Amino acid sequence: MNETLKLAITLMVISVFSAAALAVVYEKTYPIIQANKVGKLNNALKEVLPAEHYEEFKLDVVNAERSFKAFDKDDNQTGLIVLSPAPGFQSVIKVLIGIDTKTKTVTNIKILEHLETPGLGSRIEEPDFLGQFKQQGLEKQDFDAITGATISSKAVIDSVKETANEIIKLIEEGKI
Amino acid sequence: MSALKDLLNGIWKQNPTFRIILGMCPALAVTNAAINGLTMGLATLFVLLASGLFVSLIRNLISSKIRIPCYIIIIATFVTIADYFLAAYYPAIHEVLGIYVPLIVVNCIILGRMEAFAGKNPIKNSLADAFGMGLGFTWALVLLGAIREFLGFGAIFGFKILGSWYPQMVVMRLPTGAFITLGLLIAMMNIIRKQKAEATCHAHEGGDKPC
Repeated sequence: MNETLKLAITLMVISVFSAAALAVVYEKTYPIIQANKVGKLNNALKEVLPAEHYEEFKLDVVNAERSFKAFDKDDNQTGLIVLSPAPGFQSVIKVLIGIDTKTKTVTNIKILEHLETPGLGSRIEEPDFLGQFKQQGLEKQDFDAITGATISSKAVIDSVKETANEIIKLIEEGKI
Repeated sequence: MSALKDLLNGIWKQNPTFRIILGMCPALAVTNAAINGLTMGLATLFVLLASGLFVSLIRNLISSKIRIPCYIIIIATFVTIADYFLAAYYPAIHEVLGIYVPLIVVNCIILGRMEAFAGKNPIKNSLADAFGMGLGFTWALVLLGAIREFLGFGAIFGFKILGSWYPQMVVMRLPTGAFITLGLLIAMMNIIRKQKAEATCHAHEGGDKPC
């Protein structure tokens, strides 16, 4: 009994020290990590649809994980940005899609997160592929997939088409 | 003097990657570019050093019955610290290394060195051993990463070396390329070792009899 107690106390002391050390480091790094995340998202939003400021809102009709309204200097809404998850080859590809409310076109897209095969599926991040979505309306139906990354690139293409379709429909119906 | 021997031990004679063949998961998974190998190696070096120091410090205070859980708590603490640090100050690299940073906890090199060395030796020697092992792991990962990056992307440390005429070997970017490179490197090092051993044999005995 005595020995068991000794073992337990040893482990407890070590755990307490460990927890204290982690608490200090966490306290120090958490704000920076959080700022990094926000900064990354903000940069991505700017890349997809440049605007003065963005406002997150709830959009539950479409395949949207998160959605943002983009406003210009005079607080007029210029467009929408939707973060849409697409089932890729071995991961969920998170695609950020910008849509101009006036022209009803896709302004640009960006891959925010993915874990596709390096060198193959990861090529969905290349500008050659992403560039084909720039300033495209719904009339464009044919997008080029990437050789060696058929599933990953098709997932992105389908996700963009589907999401843009739904959103532009909502815009036309005046719901957003 | 013996501390120096412990230091050199991990760098060449018992190199964790090429000799003891431990820690294969990160060695194969993150070495598609030299910089990833370097960061992974340095993170592991930090965890080895810090855990080695603490394990060596408390080696006489803890009962051998619970030494493994104690080691794991210590290792996990430093891995988490390394993870937070990378996420805060090097977010791009942290993203690339992803799940492999938390997985340093279960890297056999670390627990292996704690169990085989730091748990039995004074602080000075434990630090030397941890430093040597960490450096050995780091240079192995950088070498693997550099070869794979060169063949797979035509670049080293992100600097383009071969022009666009170079048909990039995609296989080298994938884990397959890591297996091939690692296998060839180990084979090469075995040849060097063998030749070296034979040379010292000849020198000692003065004859050509293999020993």
